[in-house]
Amino acid sequence: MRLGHCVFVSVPAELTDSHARFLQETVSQRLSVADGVRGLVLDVSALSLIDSFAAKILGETASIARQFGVKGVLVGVRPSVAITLVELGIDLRHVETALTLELALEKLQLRIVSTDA
Amino acid sequence: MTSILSAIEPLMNECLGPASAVGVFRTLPQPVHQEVGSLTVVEVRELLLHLETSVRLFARPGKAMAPGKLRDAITGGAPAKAREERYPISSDRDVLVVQRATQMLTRGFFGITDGVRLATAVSELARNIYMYAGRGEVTLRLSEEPNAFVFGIFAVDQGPGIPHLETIMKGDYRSSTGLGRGIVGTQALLNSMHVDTAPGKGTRITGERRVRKS
Repeated sequence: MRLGHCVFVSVPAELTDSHARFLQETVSQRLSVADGVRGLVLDVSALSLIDSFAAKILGETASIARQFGVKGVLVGVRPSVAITLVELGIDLRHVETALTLELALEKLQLRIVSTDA
Repeated sequence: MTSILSAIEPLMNECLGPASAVGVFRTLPQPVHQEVGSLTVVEVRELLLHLETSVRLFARPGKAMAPGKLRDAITGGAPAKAREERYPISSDRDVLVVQRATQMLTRGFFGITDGVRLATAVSELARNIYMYAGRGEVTLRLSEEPNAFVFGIFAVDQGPGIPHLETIMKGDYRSSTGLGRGIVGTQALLNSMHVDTAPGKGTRITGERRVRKS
């Protein structure tokens, strides 16, 4: 879903590996042809767990976005998922994260709409 | 030869009064008619949840149920039988299935974070099977000890085996497909793990995580 300069992606709860790859491809495709997109928000709040493969795909997607001049932000990582990621030794340091959608937009320095010109 | 129902009947009568107790007995799940000590951990948990809720709602004033009494009546004082589930793994769908199965099996025994740890660990092992071996099997086992619940994972395949296992276990190996941390990371999520592998002979991984009974 696109809103202004930002693309929002809700990662589905039932994420198989092939779904994850498909999502990555679709998002990359969209970003490569879209004009004026500056931010990509990946909402993972539906995911009850993120294992190494899912983390890899998410990290890659953010890196791919950077190739198109788009900044990727990960939103909605659950606390227990965060703990597990750290213990698993997965480093998402190169991916921006934000607690909420609002903070993500702040990080992207974007406003959704400003109608009063 | 005592059925669980007849073992819990005097306790429930005493606590709720016979009239309410009869009402509760009608709503109990089927396993209550089995023999004392014959249920699996999961069945015991389900039955206890049911009974404890009823006790909370309907206990007569001053007739609280002593904690542990119902459990002892159901299990005969010994740890309940282990629950074991086997899942064939041959696609990425199956990985999702064992993730969910782990979450269902650990719920109520392990905390939320432990549940995520275990589901993630199982997911890593199951994914390794379908990625590197094509097919295999994952067995999940929940068992009870006097002071703890134990979740065991057994992942078995007949695949090519894991080459240079020592390098992987040292943590400086990067595979082309994952983050190369699947096995090492999984070990960190468990209390203990053992890998048994040989080139061409497949891989057997066993691991467990335990939690003290509260």
